[in-house]
Amino acid sequence: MIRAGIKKEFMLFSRGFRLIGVIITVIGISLLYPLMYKSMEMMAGQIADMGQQIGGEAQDQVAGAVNSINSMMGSLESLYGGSMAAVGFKTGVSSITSTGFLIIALLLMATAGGEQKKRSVIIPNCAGLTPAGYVLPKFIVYPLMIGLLSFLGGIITGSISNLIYNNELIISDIIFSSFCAAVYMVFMTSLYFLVGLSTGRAGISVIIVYGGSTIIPILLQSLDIDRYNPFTLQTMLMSSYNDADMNNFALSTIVAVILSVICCLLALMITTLKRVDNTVGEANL
Amino acid sequence: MLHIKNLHKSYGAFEVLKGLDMNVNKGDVYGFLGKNGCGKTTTMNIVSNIIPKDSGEIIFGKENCKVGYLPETPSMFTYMNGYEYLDYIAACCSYKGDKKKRINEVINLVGMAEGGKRKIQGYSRGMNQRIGIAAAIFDNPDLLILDEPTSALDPQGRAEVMGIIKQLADMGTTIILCTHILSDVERTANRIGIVRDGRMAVEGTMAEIKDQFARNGKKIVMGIFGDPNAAVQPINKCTGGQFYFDRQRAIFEIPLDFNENEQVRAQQILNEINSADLTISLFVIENKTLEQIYMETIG
Repeated sequence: MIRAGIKKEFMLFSRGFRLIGVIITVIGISLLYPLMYKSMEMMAGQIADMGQQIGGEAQDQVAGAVNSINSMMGSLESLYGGSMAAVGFKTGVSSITSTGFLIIALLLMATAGGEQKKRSVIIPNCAGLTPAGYVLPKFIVYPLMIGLLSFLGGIITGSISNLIYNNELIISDIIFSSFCAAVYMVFMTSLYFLVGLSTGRAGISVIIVYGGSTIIPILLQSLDIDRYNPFTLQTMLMSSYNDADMNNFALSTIVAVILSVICCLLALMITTLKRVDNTVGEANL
Repeated sequence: MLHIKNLHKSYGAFEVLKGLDMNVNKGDVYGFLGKNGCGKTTTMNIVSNIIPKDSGEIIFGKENCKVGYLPETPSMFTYMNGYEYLDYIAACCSYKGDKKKRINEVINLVGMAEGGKRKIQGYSRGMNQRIGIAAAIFDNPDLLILDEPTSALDPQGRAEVMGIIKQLADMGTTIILCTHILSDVERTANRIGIVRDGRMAVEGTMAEIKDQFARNGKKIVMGIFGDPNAAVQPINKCTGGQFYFDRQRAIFEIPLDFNENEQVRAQQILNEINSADLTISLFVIENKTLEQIYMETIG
């Protein structure tokens, strides 16, 4: 039953717009940020050239604007590791875990509670579909697929940044940040499915989980709990491999995986508890 | 096969089922009737464990009774085709036999051998119903519940689906046919139950119920060759004006009282018609129709 469920989830994922949508989202974000910063650099240069051609007062004004842009980019460089390649890469990967997650969650609404709302599971339930047969395939397929695609997205972002900025990034940084993003996305996808399957309301689940992913890290920081939890990974992907606290990274990864498994078990438990049995005596459906 | 006792169900402040009793025997085709919103679907959802009951008993006559359920407007996985969907259903019911053979059997039974290759997304309502029936009967259920299987279908679709249901009934499947289309029930059901105000108002075999309601329902239906107006006077004479003339069908309907000897009455009328040199084209004594019984029951 679980194997059939996995096959069913793969069909659902690949046959609609969903898989293509996730790929487009990830690749789109991967391309967007490195290209955006590069284009800002180029724009600053072109504005400076234009100012020189015009000359006079206009040249001073233009120079002022160019200096502002350069100053902003200098700040970004120092914030994100000393190069524009790092800026493009890290903002891109970070965006995969925030905006990317939101888009992916919207794309997966049909399977994270949408089936229950549409009552598509009535006939399979009556046929004998068990909670495990329904829930487990979702937690096997989607967190892993989204994690994998996020990892690949990070690699693509890093590769594009290196292509544009002449190999300023080192491979270990690219892999490290991509891995952090992947594990974080595995956790977030598991959390999303827990809320979606438990409530049967995919739309509200998107709001709860996305909103929670913004608020919870702030809360944890205010309570000085900024280590050894999955949200740390979202921060950690901004740092380089050499500068990262490896203990924090390893434990945060382990906690993220454990919490993902707990999400699965909770979803299974809630789905089982929600099962109705109106019969009396020996008979069962 | 299924016994329901004193079933109660409310949606908030609105009580839908107010102590429903129901008895379905093995091999029955049970027509479950009632007007829209009377609780038919609620009852079937409770029996199928889709929604919880408030109180009452649901007792199956068999241990581990397998129930197949086709809900009203079935929703299926539209990204699959019919064969793939049934393959998934086979996994859900942990089908032990030759899966492919069974899929072909049920898909041929419902006439979807070709249609089954297309994605469910592109199915008409009739095709949806047919695949839904295939899924519901896949594991040879002991009890098959069909909730409004022919509503929203065109006449051809209805005829096809009812044909399938008749086949299943002939194969001995116990079926609950939940519908408000009386002609479907009259054609296939041997037992009916009519729900009114959240309770079972009438239940029994077709013959029992028609007999029960026949007391004030029998009538003579008569037609003559030629101008029907010629029969008005002789009929008037022997009925005292207690008859109805259906102009559209050009037939006379003469109600029979409960205590009346129908043979004597019939002979009386025939004698009058013969005396008037008229020729009978139609002469039959009818019981109350299911429609009349239904309308009388639901009020």
